[in-house]
Amino acid sequence: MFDILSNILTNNMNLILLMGIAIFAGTIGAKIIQKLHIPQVVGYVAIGLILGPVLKIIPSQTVQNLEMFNLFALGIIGFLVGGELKREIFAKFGKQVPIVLLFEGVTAALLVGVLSFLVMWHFSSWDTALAVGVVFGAICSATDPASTISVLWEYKARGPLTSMITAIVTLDDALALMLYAISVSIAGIVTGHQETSLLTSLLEALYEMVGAAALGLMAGIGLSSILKRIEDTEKILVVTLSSAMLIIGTAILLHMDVILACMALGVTLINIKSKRIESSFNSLRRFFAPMYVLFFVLVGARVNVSYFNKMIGVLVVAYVGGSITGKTLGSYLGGYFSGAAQTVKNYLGFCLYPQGGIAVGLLIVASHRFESEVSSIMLLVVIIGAFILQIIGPIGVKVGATKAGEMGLNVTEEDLIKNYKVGDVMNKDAPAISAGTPLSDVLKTVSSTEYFYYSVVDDQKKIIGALTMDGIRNTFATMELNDWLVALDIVEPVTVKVTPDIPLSRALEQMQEQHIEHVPVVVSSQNNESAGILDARAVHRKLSAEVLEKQQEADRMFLRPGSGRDAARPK
Amino acid sequence: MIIQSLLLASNSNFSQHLDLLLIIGIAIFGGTIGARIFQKLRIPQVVGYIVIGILIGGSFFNLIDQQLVRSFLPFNLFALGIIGFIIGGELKYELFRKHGKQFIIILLTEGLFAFLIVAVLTTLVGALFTGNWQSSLALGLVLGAISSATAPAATVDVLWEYKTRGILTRTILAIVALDDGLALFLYGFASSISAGLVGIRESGF
Repeated sequence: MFDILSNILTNNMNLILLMGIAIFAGTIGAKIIQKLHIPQVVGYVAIGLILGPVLKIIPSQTVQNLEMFNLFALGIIGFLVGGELKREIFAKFGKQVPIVLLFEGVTAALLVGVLSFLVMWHFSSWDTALAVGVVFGAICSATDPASTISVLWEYKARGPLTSMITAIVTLDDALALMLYAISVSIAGIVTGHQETSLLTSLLEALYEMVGAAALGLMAGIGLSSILKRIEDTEKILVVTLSSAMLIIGTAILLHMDVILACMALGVTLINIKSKRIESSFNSLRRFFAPMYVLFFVLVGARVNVSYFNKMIGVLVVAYVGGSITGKTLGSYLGGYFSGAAQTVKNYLGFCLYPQGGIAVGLLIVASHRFESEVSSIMLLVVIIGAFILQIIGPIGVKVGATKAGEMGLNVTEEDLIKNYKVGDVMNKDAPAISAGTPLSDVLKTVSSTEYFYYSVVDDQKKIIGALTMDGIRNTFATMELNDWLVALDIVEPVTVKVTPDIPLSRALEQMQEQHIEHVPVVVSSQNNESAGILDARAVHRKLSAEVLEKQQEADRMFLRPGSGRDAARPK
Repeated sequence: MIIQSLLLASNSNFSQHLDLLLIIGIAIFGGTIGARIFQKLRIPQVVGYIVIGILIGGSFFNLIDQQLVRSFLPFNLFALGIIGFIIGGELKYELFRKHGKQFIIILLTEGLFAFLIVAVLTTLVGALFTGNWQSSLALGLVLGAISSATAPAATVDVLWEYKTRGILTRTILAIVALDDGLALFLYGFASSISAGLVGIRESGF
């Protein structure tokens, strides 16, 4: 049945239907995968695998014909990655970030490169092995930001390690792109181009990269001056998109590196401070969302499962093992040489395992350069490797951040409200005033304590009403002060009472609905005995103090280089 | 210099898919600039898009060759489909309940008048030049039927550009959406009569 469908689709060249199926199914796949706490990208590729090699709905011929779309998508990804490289990231951390970045990226690249070269050499020719080693090495340095950062968010991590992870995952995509450009040129020099001299090849590689950077830089300056004159958000998208296409097209035409050119465009644009730049990136990101899905579904559809054999298995082991060891070792070395905090040095490596979009995307570019068999093998290895790393990765992030003691330090007031009960934050010491207390004694109590609200109780300590500041003020204004006035005379009725065991969130909601700031707390819903008062303002003050304290605890870790896990651990 | 290299590229045997992105980029970018210029002259931007298309198309710079344009057919269908979708989203049931009768009368009159007048005029002109009344009538009927359709893309783009709203806008959208149907109906009717007139006995197209 699917064969018939596939025939209909290819024969009529109904590309639109095909894309519709790919994007729609990809989105559903991502939704399912997300439920298992695995990043969306994995879902897209999995759906691609099902639509392509398994059900043959997306014919491999069509995927080959969509090369132009791949270049477009990679160009846009490069542009968006470039847009992450804000000057502030470097300024904030000084030299630490670049040193750590270089060490973790390059160590992983070297290790994976050498390992996969050796494995491949064992099974195949020398130059194929070199090509595979070089490509694998370059792409393994890209950490998937999505899964790493979502774990940090989920566990409310905060501290030097968290900041370092955030900086590194945004930057190492760019590092991977550059490593890729450099190493592929080197591989090209070593293997191909036997007819041309080494110098010519070197110059060619240099032209490819420097030319691309210059192209992106110039276009970035031009685009930012155009964007200054545009108000309409739709037009901003149109101009940004078409400039990106112009850059991609020109780079292809002039034989320059497409991704590097787009990245240079993004970096230039984001670092020229201008009003509409953010909007430019955001609108492109939104426009690109369905294409991103399509791109990764097509990646899955390309995979040729029939190639799987022992060699692929060993290569996967080399790739995954090399990535994990390289990242861990490299992060440690980087932390050591940059003088980063102890926690960063020890645990950063654990948090950088996940791989995703950029790694797979770079591989697709690489596949232009190699024979179809070699590129099929590479694709299969990297996709299996990325699957494994996406499952191990988030666990690593969790372990690393927990050991560094940074979990739960990034709480907000809302988080605390969710977790607390009324009893945890109420004022237990607030004095209850008995009904018969003369006014002068009431005033003494009020002036000697700092509350705005007092429960009035009878002889059995049962609440019969409340005294508020407003009530006392009104009494002064309307009545003559008499010695025989007692608390009972100025008491106000109580509309809402809470018990210590109900969730804080519910109590605060009730108070908000009634527009009151204080409620008396009673022992239980049957027993009307006073247990204290709940003061909304005091609660917020207390909670924000707690939030601040956790933040300061996290921030203190920045100031203590060499502070161990025990010192940094929350009480 | 870039134009030169582009011309070279389109002549030399660069594989087609490679410079496609560049050409699309030029088309969109150029179109935006054209729209800007025409907006300054208070002419709807869509005219600017079309003028840029004419400039880079076969008539002038020849950056886009006919085959390339044809390979964009799926994209055209896609764009028209999206426009249809958006127009459809504007046509709420309420609107038809209130103004349904009006819409149908307007649709019939504007469609049929355009059909009749174009048919009569082209028949007369055709007969004047060829002297063959039968084939002129056939030509007139077919052209008349086609003329009753309104192109949605340009119309809708102008409405969007000037951010219009109100009963006229709604009526335009409804009529634009519906008169393709009328045109198809008239075309079926006209083409069968024309086929009879010029003596082709095969059915339809």
